[in-house]
Amino acid sequence: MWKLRLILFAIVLTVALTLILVGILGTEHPLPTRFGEPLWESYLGSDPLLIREYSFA
Amino acid sequence: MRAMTIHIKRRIVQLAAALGINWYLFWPYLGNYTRAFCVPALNCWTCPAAAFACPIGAIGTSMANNLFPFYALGLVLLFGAVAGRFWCGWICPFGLLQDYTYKIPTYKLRIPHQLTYARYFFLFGTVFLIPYLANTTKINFFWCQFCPAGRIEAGIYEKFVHPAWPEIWRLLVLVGFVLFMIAAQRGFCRVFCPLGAIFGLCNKISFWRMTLSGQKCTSCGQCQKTCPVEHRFDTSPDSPDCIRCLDCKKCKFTAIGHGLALPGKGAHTGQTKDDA
Repeated sequence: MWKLRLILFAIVLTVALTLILVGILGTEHPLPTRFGEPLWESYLGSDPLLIREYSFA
Repeated sequence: MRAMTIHIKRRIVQLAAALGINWYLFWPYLGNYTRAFCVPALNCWTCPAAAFACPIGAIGTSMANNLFPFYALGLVLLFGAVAGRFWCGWICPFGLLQDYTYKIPTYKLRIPHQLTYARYFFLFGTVFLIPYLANTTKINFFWCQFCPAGRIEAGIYEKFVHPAWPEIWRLLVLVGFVLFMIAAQRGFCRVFCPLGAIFGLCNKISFWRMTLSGQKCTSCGQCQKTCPVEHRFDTSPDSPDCIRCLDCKKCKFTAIGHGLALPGKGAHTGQTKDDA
């Protein structure tokens, strides 16, 4: 039973780390931004209220 | 005394996490770098104090932009694989809020177990499917549009910055959520939370987990009485409902424990490190 748990844990962990790496290195926008610019740039020095308008109508 | 210490420790950790996740309130000059990181908690990133991103907001907004949420989903799965729903019990500020709102003396509700499956609908429906199909976040059935964590943490502030009477339906939904949280212990976590739904699925395979000694357990049901989610621990130690708050370690038979999923340790098989 513990073997199965450990195998499943390893699979989920591998998938998670792969997704994170693909998200950071393989895509232009790891996290969504309102105007399409990469997350890091949109956060540096930009008006934080841009983000605050994002989730609300 | 040992269980009381755990309870106090948990409160301290919860408060520290709530302040830490929202440290922008105290130090707004550090920059927005930390907002690139999703925390394992429902903390609206639209909140002016939020120093980190909400994973559900990130996933939903990615889907609305027809982008697969590699990074946000990967982080959520990582947190889930490590400790399952531990984050719900110890880190989530909204969980802390529910712990305190439940203390308000009112009529209390019992939640039927079948109702707890609704959180999967909210996860797959309002976080993944609906924003993807609608291709926008400006739709009422997108999770962030009615998320009570967002309404309370960010919506109230937004009304000060942009004064306006809120839409009636939003107000009714928020009031409904708050009343539900007052009447049902961790009701939001059990029935609605999409993040808890993902973490709950990881309870079965997480590296850090709960254990039950079958030899010590007498099936007295005391664990259910102390459990914030009213879960009967001895029936399923790795249930997706369990938020791993460790309140059940009050067990007078010391049948409940926790630890890492290492060879030789079993849950719900009667085996523990002592028994093996």
